[in-house]
Amino acid sequence: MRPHPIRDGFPAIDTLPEPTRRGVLKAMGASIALMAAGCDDGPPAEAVPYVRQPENLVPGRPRFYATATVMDGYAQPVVAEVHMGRPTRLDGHGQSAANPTAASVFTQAEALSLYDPDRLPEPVLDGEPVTRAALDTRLAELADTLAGTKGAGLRLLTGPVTAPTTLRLMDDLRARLPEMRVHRWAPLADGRTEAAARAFGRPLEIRADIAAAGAVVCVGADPLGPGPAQMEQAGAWAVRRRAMLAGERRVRPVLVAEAAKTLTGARADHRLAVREGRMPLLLDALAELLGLHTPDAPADLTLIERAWVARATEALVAPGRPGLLLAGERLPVAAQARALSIAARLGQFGTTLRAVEPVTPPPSADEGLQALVDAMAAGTVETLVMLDVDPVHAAPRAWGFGALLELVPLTIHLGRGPEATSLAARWRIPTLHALESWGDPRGIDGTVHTQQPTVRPLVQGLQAAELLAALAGEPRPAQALVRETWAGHWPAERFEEAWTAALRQGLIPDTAAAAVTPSIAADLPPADGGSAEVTETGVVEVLFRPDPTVLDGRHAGNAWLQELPKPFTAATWGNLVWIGTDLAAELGVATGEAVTVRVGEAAVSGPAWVSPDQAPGTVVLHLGYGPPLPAGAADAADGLGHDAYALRPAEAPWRAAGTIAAGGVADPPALALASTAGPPPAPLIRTVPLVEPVLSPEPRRTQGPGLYDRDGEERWTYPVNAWAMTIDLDACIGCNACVIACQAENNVPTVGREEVMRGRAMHWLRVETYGDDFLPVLCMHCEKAPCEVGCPVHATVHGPDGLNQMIYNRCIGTRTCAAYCPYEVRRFNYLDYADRVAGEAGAQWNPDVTVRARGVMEKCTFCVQRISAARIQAKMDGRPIADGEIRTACQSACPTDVFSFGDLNDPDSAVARAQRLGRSYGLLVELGTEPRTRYLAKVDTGTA
Amino acid sequence: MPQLFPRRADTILRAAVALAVLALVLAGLVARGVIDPARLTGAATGAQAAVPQPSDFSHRLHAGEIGIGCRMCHTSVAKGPEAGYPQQWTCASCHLALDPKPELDWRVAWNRVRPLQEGVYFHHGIHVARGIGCATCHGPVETMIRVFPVREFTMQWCLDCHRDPAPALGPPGAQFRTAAAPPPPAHEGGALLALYGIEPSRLDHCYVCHR
Repeated sequence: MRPHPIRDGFPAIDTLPEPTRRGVLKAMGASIALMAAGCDDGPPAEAVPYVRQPENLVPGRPRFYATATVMDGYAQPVVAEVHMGRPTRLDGHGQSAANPTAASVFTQAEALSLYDPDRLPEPVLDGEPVTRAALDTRLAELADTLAGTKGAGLRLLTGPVTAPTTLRLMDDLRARLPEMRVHRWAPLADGRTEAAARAFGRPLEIRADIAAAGAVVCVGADPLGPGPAQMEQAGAWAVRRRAMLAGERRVRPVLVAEAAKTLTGARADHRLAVREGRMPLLLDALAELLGLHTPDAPADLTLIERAWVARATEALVAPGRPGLLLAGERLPVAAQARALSIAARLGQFGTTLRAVEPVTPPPSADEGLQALVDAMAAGTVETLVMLDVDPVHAAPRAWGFGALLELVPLTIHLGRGPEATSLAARWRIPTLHALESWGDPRGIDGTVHTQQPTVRPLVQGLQAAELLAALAGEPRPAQALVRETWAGHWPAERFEEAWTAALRQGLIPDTAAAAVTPSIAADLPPADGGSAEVTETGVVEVLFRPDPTVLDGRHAGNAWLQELPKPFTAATWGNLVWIGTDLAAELGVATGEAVTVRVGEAAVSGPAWVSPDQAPGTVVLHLGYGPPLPAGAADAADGLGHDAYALRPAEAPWRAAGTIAAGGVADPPALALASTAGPPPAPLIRTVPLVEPVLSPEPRRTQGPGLYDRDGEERWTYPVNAWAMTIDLDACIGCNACVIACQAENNVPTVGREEVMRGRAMHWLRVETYGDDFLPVLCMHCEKAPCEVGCPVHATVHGPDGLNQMIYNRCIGTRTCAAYCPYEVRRFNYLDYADRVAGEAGAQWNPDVTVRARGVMEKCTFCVQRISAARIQAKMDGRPIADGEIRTACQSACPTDVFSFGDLNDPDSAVARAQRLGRSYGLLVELGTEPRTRYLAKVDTGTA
Repeated sequence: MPQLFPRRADTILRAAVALAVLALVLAGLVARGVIDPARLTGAATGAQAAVPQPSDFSHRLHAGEIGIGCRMCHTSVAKGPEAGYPQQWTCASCHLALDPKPELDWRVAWNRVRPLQEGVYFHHGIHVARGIGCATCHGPVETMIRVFPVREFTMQWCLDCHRDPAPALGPPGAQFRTAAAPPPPAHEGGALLALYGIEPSRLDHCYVCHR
């Protein structure tokens, strides 16, 4: 049968109902009626002035506040952009050395989480919504009762905490209620501090300085991947890479051994796909080659593994800059301890590794979740206070936390609201968002970052510190609590001045954790049973990983992160089961088909994703998605994906032995981009050798089909500015920070799972992945733009400064421009996506950018609102626009400084210099579009 | 067999044809520019009509008779995109001294006289900086008890000025002049264009106002 021209090309059409004649007529009639009814009344016509206007406020201009969000307890310093009291966007604040404004997708997405419509609006006590005042009364009664019993039966369960104020209040509560017990637990907790304790005899925080390193060897580590230090490490990686390309230092490789593909693995020079169970063997072999360890029997390694270890050894001992050995924080503690010990013996501490006092206090003072579960089962827990944790969903299921919770007379949960634990608790208290809070969380280096509210709380909630103070019987607002903590830090007469300066700067100077010189023991720490390998036939290594966008599930309600194409898979609104080509062939499944994974008694089914780069015999499950919530609960994530927590064993949270079979019930994945495991269909990504980083001249087609008479035609002239961008593919690590930045800045709506599956995701900027290569694609602002020719109503036209302008109020939605665009960067509002967002999170919208209506085409504008603002300001100041004054949103978020933007008319501008480089090329130039967004080819450093 | 068409069918047909001819003639007149629909819509959408306000505030008293300058209240007009509405303390700074009223209603929700169309981004600051006087767009506000729009803010009207700004320009410092003040020294539009560095060729592309 011949392929159907529409149906086979667009399978989603089959999901639409077959139209009937009557249906078509009805729809036509309804459309005409709606056309008349669709005109609205325009913007609100009321203007309410301030009673007392804040000093220096200029209406229509944003204000910026230094504050911090929190990730795994660590501060992520940000500068919040606030429009008339509404935070709309977050920039990073000095984390990445390559770009101080870089911010990770998780940090940036907090700007949307603030406006999450599923946040609990007010406290709910025993099913009754109450006011803050009523809650305060009940908490005061509870505090009295607790004081009477010295806290007997009271248990406190928290996640990782670094903030001195919260820790002080916990100690204060402990002192008042000596019978109280504190438990600390996080689903993503790893063995880093414990490994340091085993290697050096005391718990330490180990920080890597990639920028200073020669060779980098990662065994199961992913320093460029998600985590509190992602921006810092990515920035350092870019600094190191640029120095090598500039010839300032010798070229040294990055070697990665990993079970499944990571961002670091994609950018490695030598990548080894190996089961995680074999990684301790790799470390042993490495120690042996370095002469640090004499094994009883020779390690049982394959030839490829041997070659990788030999390379790694050679690279680590190469002359010049010291190397950097990193072991994955999810490896068994013994293996991590051995890696630290090897690194110490190679002299890496003090050069590429630094040991500092732990930023999160060692958990010895507290107890883990297991102790709490035992106590709950024994019935000795009277009151359980849970601070922003979700154990019902994320604790090992064998412990039955949800059932045990019912045995506790009073359960109090402070949280966002839609979590399973909040729904199961008797007292549900909304927690305040970081942008509504006062606080002092510590950053990854221990520096205290100040949190100040950028908006009045949108819910009637409490901060964790406030709840602790209330339980102690002395409730105070968080601002007072934080000031109390720091009152003694400065002399009293200087306090106000110093405190204001700290808030303005966003940090309290000189509070970084003290450096420690670790003592090296005589012997390597012993390897223990934790490294046992899975060898039985039919048994696979099941690896648990945080989801690349929703992590442990804390961001499950965030539509930006749900709709963000996950690295490599491009999956949205759900998780996939990663398998290698070996398992795919064995099971006979392809990407998207259902597989069922079993660990012990438990089983989950999900759609498979077949990766050619995965270690044989491994299955990767991503945490963060969960079972459906009880009826009546609302959450954006409800019913999405599969619940990997159900399989997670209590004893080894990151790795289990299991089985996999084809079949099972699984929703098809919503892939935002086409399958991208292989090489690109055309030479979209080009590579140059380091010795001569020059590309051959670009092909320029002068004949054949095309929209233009290519020779002798009139050319555009740009008398004043000619804006352009370059994208350095050699620096891109595929972290997606630019995608979220663009979404936040430009009011790009999310469309939901079904619409993504119809190919209607709205991202103006996407990061395509081809094998190991990342390719950010956005509007090329072509000199000879096909869209400009295609539009019948001149809704897209060429501007006098080189921008390809998109005029929404002219657009009639023929979509011709999108059909003509070879870069597929134009996005059409098939439905009123923005209107759907308006009721929920519309307060996040950037008032400087039009919110597009249904039936309108949109695309990257080079952040024209920022260009306009800079142009007007420069004119008012009577000066030209300086190079670097205009930074696009993607550029400001990028941790590795991939983007440069500026004026081509200025030969000294960063963008003009970049476009003159020999490795500059245009995408699909053979089509004759003359794109003014140009790429810098990847550089092959020759170490492969 | 009953009649298919009622008796008045002919009349209806004739009337329809007459209406169609009339519509064609009107369309022709609009196309040739004899009738300007912008002016018609201006009348239809209430330009020239005073907008009701929650307070009896009179611009004629404050700006005209007392002679308070525009920027006393609209403080950000020369700095930012929005002219700004005065904070209540600006009113209070005089009124509490004249007539202390402790039970003053502090929340005043003014009705916008002429809201900007959606998708249009107007920047007051740059217009003021380039010598466009307040009265050019807002008319003789100091004579109005209650402010009314003196003209419809149509795109054509914006474009007319963006394409030929010279006639609207005033000398530096005369932007906030009211009709009561002495007229500024005569100037020549072309000289002012050069003085302000205005290039009309770059003023009429879409992204100047739309984005």
